[in-house]
Amino acid sequence: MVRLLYFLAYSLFFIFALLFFVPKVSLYHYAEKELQKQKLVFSNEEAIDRPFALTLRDIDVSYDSIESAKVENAEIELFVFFNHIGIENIELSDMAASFLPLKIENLDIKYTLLNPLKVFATSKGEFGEASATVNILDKNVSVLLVPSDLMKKKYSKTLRNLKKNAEGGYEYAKTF
Amino acid sequence: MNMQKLSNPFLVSIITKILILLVIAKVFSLLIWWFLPSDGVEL
Repeated sequence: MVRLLYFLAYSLFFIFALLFFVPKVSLYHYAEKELQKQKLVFSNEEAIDRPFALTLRDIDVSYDSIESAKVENAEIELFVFFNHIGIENIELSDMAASFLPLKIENLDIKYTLLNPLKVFATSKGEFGEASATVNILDKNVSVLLVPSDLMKKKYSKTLRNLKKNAEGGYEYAKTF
Repeated sequence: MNMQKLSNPFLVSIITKILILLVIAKVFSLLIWWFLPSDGVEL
């Protein structure tokens, strides 16, 4: 029993040492190149390697060579057992103005090994508040949106594409 | 007294293991740094 405890303690220490030393900016550049294959490009950003996190500032996000959004700050914390990506102040491109309000205050994405088949996300912005769950096994995404007054007034067309629930929220589900 | 504590075989064994783990983690991270790209994607 004591040996097992020592083994667990040493393993945890090793994982944290590795997380401390690992070149997070290089890993990010590798991820960038992989995402480029999916036509998603992050450019002009400043990447800061921190002991247990990676901070990205002023990112221009493009999809299929079309500028899609600007992100002021993103924080990536990967602790193996608990992983978190926090994104602040997203401004969508003007192209999206006919579907959605352009400013998103924050987007939090969480993944924990305690619930390994699901990724959770919450977001708040001019559109209201949204929470999403991605089920990796079933390959589906479900989003619950509580729209703001602005969203209800100016973007009712977008809301019509979503399913209204009994609590006044709007649901969206998609399989990928 | 302090010298006795430092030469405690149990403590020395733990410190050695911790140092070995730190070195392995550092070598592993250097290998990752060596093989991964040093620059990102720009439009």
